[in-house]
Amino acid sequence: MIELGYLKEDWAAEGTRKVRPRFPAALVLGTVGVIVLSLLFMIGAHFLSYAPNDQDMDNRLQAPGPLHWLGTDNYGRDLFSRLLHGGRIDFQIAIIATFFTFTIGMTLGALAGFYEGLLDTLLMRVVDVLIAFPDLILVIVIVGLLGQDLLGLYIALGLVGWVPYARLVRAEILTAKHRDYILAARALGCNNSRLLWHHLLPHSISQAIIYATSSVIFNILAISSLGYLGVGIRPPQAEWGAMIAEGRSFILSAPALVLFPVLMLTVTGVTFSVLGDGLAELLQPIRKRLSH
Amino acid sequence: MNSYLLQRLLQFIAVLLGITIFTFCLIRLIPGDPCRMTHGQFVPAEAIERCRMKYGLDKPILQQFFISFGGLFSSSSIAGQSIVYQRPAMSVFAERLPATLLLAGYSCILAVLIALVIGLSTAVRPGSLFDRSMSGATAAALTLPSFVIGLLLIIVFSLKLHLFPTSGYGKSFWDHLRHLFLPALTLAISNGAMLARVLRRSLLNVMDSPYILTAHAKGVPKRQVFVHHVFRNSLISPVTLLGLQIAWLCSGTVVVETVFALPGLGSLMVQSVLDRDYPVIQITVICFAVIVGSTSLLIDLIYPWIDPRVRHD
Repeated sequence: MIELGYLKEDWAAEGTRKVRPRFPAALVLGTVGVIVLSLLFMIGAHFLSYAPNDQDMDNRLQAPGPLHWLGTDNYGRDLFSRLLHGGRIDFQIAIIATFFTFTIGMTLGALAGFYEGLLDTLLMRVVDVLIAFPDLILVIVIVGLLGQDLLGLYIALGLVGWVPYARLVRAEILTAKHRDYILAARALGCNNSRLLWHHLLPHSISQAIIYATSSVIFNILAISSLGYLGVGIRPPQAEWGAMIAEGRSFILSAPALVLFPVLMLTVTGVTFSVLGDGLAELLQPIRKRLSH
Repeated sequence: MNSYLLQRLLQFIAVLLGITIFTFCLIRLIPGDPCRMTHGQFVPAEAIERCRMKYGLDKPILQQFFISFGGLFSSSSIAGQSIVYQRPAMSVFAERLPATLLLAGYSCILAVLIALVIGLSTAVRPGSLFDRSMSGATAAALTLPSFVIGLLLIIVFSLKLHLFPTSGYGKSFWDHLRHLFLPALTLAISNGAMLARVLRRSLLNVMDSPYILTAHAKGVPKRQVFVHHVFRNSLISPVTLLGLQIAWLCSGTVVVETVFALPGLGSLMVQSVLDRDYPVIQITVICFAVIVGSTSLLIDLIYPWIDPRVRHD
């Protein structure tokens, strides 16, 4: 009964187009969280009194205090500054890599789904091969062999990351292209490219957009895992995973060195997963309500 | 059924071939000559050339592919020799395989146990305080990288409570199980959390379906309805996920084996990447891909048994 009520409400909204869209609380919370984190890492990191690699050997392994807010590490470097700069690196790579993989995967998936034929067959075989590789293993091998720098990381994350988007968008396009509104658009004289980019694609990327938030989380986890294993960005560049690996030796005497990077990783991960939940609620409202 | 099996097997072999070619290209097309890497910068050009000839790197690329592929399976071939260990890459690999397989199997069992306990107990009373707190806990477990979970477990169970060793593999089987408990639990926590969430949703969906109402209306005892009607029908999505998780598990072993200093394939791979030991990298990457591919094949074959509606005609 409740479900019928929901449906009626959505139909009403569709019919009159006067009902203002309701933004799910998770979406608002997630968006605010991501904006706050981005400001903190991108702008806040520039206004600190300590540079991330400034060593102060007289003040090694200091506890949190007024001078160094979160204390210092074993080289006397300010932990707060390293935390924000580390966040900047992780955040920046994760978001840029997600953007590129999204664009590449979406384009390939859309073209394959729309035109099918040889392109589709070829793409799906490549997907079959790439999907058989455990993601992180491929990333480690590529980064390790290409050289541990930013370009290597982008290439590795890019090579692995586009596959799910291509699959999601292709599957949606394959079903959507047989719908009535596409037939109508074609009857009105739309050419293929207009049909694909203006009519089909906007209706076929909601799944991919929702997936993008988990992809950001995967990228952050991958970068920090590489940093922890010593295969990622080279020291002394601050990076959360590498900071946790360095702090491991002082885990009992100075737990803050491990605790704060872990906390930041968790907060960032939870923020993006809340954003993902919110997006899912916004983009697939009816389906979600009916499925449960 | 048989033709489906044959088709899937052929597909698997094709993917395997693709994987081999891809791994080969990945390693060969990337800048950096393995001989230059292992010999260093200050070795005369003749020595590098000799090394290139020894490993067949001076031959045309297609010939190199067959040499390196054949080398992996022949202990006498020089192409299959580990550059670092100076013995067949296959034997280095075989030495490390048992620890990884045991770790993966162990963590699968623990993950299924965690999922069953959390999934069943939350689905019985949806919306309760326990249900909501478990939903938060599983979401948090999913966002934590495995090395962080491993470190937290080491702090609590090894350093504070002294219940399990911090690293190592042990000597006997039972010793292995004791040493591998924390690494396996590390992997099982995130995989189990995701399985539990999927199992819970699946159980709730099935409980809402009309045939469960019918069973209750007919007066079938509650326990019987749950075990025979609800539980079995809820297994499809969790089993699919379990199959997918094998890929994550492989990724996870790489990190976890390094955290707990285990002599498995994952730590071997990271070390080989750092040392640029190409034959070993090649064989470990192919092996991980084989594990993932064969698991998905296995899951496809199990489907009809769980859900007779799925038939591979």
